[in-house]
Amino acid sequence: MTLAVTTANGPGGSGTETGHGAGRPRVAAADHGAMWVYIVGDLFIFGGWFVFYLVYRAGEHTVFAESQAHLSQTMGLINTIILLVSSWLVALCVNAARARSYDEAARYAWLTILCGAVFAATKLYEWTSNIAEGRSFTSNDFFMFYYFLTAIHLFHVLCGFIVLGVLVRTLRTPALRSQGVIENCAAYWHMVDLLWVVIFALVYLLR
Amino acid sequence: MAARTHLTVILVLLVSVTVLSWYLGTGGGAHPMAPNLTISAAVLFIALLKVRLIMSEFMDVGTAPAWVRRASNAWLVLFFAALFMVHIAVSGG
Repeated sequence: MTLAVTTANGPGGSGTETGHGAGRPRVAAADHGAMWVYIVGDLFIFGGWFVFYLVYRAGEHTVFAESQAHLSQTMGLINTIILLVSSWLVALCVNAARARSYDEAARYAWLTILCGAVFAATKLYEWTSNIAEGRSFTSNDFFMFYYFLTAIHLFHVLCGFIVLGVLVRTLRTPALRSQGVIENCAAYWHMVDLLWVVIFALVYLLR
Repeated sequence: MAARTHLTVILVLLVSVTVLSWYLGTGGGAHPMAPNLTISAAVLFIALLKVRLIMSEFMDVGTAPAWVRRASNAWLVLFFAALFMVHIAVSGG
């Protein structure tokens, strides 16, 4: 995919400026192309699962409420804040790259990876704690959905490490630098954050 | 610097409403999981707000092609409406 770097205030840059980094080289989100197709597709697939979750919850409300009480809502809160911070870091990374501060951008990318690793570690800890206390995938429909949704999400986080690896390599290698690749990688990580926001609300907090 | 400050303000807002959502959902960590339609509606609304903020402020969806803006708006309306309606049907039943 070839992505054109534009200047928001320059010729041809109209319609691409959002107020972030005005006058700096950037790629319009319009140029993300295939990544948007993937993100929108993934959102609709997850959206279907979210609706299924609530329909099942409707049929077994007591089981779901009792099972949900065994989860650590505080751990869910920590996970959510970690991913929100990671999303902010990757947005700062894009902002720094637009200003051609590639070393700074790479530092933000590494911090994003660190947040992702902390998220994955806390998720594995949460799973092992639940399994050790006898709450597994087959315990009931709530835990089937809990493990399914969190596992599919964690898979996206793990894929995100590859994506963020590409981001770091792109930032560190002058010959490979492409604002389009940088912004595509960031958009993927924002999607990971966005999906977790909904999972946290539905699986951990809904009453 | 202005962009960084803007992004940081958005982060602070997102974290604040997340903590509010956690407080509402758990009663401050006390785990009272009794069904409560008002709290559930607030939790879903806060999730909707957070998703919208992430899309518009972090993902720059506002500068995306028209079909992406339409699809993301449709996703927000469709799925959150479905989530609200299913949950209201359950809690009201």
